[in-house]
Amino acid sequence: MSLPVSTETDRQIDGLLGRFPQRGSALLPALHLIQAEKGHIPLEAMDYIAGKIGVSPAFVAGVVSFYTMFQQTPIGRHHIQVCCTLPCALRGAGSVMGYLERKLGIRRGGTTPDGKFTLSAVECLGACDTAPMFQINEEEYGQLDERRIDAILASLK
Amino acid sequence: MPDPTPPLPPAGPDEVALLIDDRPVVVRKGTTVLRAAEAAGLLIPHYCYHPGLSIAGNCRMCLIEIDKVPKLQIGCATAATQGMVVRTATPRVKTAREGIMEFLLINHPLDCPICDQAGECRLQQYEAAYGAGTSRFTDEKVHWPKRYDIGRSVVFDAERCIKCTRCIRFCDEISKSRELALFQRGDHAIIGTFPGKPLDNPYSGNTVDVCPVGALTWKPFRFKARVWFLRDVPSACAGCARGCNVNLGTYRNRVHRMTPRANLEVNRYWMCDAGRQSYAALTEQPRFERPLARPATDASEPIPWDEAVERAAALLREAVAAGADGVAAIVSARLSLEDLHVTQRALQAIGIGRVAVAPHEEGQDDHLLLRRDKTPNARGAALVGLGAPNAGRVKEILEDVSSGRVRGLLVVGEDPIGDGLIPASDLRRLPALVAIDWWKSPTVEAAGVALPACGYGEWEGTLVNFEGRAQRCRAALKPQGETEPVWRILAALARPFGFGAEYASASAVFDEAAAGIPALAGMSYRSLGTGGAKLKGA
Repeated sequence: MSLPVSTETDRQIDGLLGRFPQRGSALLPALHLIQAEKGHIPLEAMDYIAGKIGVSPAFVAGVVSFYTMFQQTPIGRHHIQVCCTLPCALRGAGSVMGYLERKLGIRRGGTTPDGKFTLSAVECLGACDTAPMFQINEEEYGQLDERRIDAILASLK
Repeated sequence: MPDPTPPLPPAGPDEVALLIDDRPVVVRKGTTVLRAAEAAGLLIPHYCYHPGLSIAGNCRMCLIEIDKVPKLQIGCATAATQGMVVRTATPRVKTAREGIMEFLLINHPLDCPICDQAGECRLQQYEAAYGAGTSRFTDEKVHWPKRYDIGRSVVFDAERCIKCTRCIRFCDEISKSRELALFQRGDHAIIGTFPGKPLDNPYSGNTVDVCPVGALTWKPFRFKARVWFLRDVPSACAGCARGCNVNLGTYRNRVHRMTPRANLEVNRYWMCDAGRQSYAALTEQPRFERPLARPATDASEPIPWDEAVERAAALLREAVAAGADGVAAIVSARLSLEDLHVTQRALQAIGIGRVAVAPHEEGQDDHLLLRRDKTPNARGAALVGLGAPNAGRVKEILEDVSSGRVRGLLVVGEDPIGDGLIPASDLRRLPALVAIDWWKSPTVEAAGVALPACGYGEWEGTLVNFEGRAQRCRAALKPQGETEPVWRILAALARPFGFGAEYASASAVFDEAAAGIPALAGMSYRSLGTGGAKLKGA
C-alpha cells in the first residue's frame, strides 16, 4: 500500500514520535507536517496517522475538525486569512475583505477557479499593531490598503 | 451559639469521614463526593458520569458546594476528604443547576412527544427536579441531523445530544472499538464517526443505554412502546454461556426490548447486541400452540394434550420394548436447570439410557462478554447428570438413527434437522420420534408426536453460567396457546412409566434438584434473588 504522504514527511513524523512521553502528543505537529505537504489533510492521511500514533481514525478526524487551521478539503495555493477581530475591524478590515472579494471575484470562504487563492475571515492573529492585517499561508502582512494589497497579490505566483 | 453541625463519625485508616447535607458519611479514601453522597442516600444529579466509564467531568450538572472552597466543585471528580463539609442543595448550587439546564436546553428540540427516551430521559427528569421550568430563549434553535444512521442498529439525533461523551467513552474503554469521537467545537460540537467506519461493534447497543437523553436510539425499539408502559422483568440472557443479567421490557404480553441489568459479577453494566435482540426469536420464529401428531397422512395435525402425551408415551414404550439400545434422547443445554433435572429423571423412568446433550458453538470468547459456547446452561446439564454437551455423542446417535439401529428418539429443545446434522427423511422414517420444542422447527414437523413448550420469556427457571453462577430467569409473558414448561411436559410423559413426582412450580423443581446435587447444597430458588449465586466450589 502506498503511503498517503511522501516518504520524507513519513520520516519526519517518525522522528516526532520519539520526542514525546505520550505518542498521542505527536498528533498536532504530525498534522501540521501533513498539511504543509498536502495543503490539506485528506481522510487517508487521518487514517494513516491514527494507525501510526495508535489512536482511532475518528479521534484524529475529531481533532482535525476542532482546529479551524486544519483544512479538510483542498484549498488554494495561497490562503488569505483576513483578521476580522475588533482592532482590525476598527481599522478597516471590512473594506479589506470587500476589496479582496471584488478583486478576486469570490466570496469569503471561497477559492478562485484557478486554485490560486482561498479567502477566509479569521479571528485575531496577534498583530493588532499593524491592523488591518491578513496572513497568507505562514506570512503576515499589515497596514493594508488597496495599493499594498495589489502589490502583495501581484508578488505571489 | 451551639455548633449546629453533627459530629463526624470515626473513620478507619483507609477511610474518610465527611458531612454531606449534614449527613455523616464514611467512605473509602479516594471515593468521589458523588459516590459518597450515593452511599448516604443522596442523589447528585449528573449526565456525563457513569459508574462503568472513566470520569469526564464535562456536563457540570453535579456542581456542589464545599465549605472553605470558594467555587462550586463537580461532585463526580472531587475526592471526598476527611472532615469535608459538602452541601448539595444551597441556593448557589440550585442556581448553578438551573443555569446548566438552561444551557443544555437552549437548542434542545423539545420533541419529547416523538422521542423514545421520553419517560427515562435525564433532561426531562432533571428539568422537572432542578430546572427553572421556563425558557428565556427566544431565537431560532440550531438545527442538526435528526435521523442519522450512525451504525447498523443505532440512530443518532444530533439535536437531542448534550455531548456528555458517554457513548464515546464506552467505545473507547469498554468495547474498545473506538468508532466515535467528538467533532467540531463549541456549539457546533457533534458526535460522529470516521467516514466509512460506522458504529458497528458487537456491543453498540450499550451506547444507547448509556445515552442519558434521546440522542442515541436502538433501531429495533424505535417507536415501539412508550417506556412508562413497559414492565421490566429481571432475568438472565440465554444467548450464550455468560448469562448477562437483563431486564425484559414487557407490554401487553410482548417483550419490546431487552436491556442489561447491572451485575458487577457477571456483565457489569453491559450486554451484547445479539443478546439484546434475542427476545425477537419468540415472535419471529413460527410457533405451534397445540400438540401435533402425524397420523396416517403426512401432515401433522393438532390434538389435545392428554391424547398427545398418551401417544408419545406409547411410541416410546414400543421403542424401549424393542431393546434399550434402540432408543436415545438428544437434549438441549438451552433448557433451564429445572427442565434438565426433570428430563434426567424422566429419561430414567422411561428407560432411555442413551442421552446426548447438544453443543452450540460459534465465534470465540471475546475480551468482554461474548462466549463461544452459545448454550446458556451447559454447566446445568452436567450438574443434573445428563453430561456436558458432546458433539460426538450426538453424531453417534444420529448415525444410528440413519442406519436404523436407533428406532426411537426423544428430542428435547434441539433441531438436528435444522442444524444440518441429519437429513429430514432419515428422521421421518423413525418409528418413534417425539420432539419437544418451543417453535415449529423442521424436527418438530418430522416428529410422530410434537409437544409445544414455552419459549424464552415465557418460562421461569434457572441457568448456570460458565463461571458456575446459578441465575434465575423470570417469566415475563403468559405462555402462548397451550404451551407448557419443558419440566411439566417431561413429568407428564414419564408418568405412564411410573414417574410419581409432581411439581407445582419451577421453584419446587429447583429445590428438589438442590437437595440432591452437592454443588447446589443449601441453595433455594428464593435464595438466588436477582443477582444469582455461585455454585459450591465454583
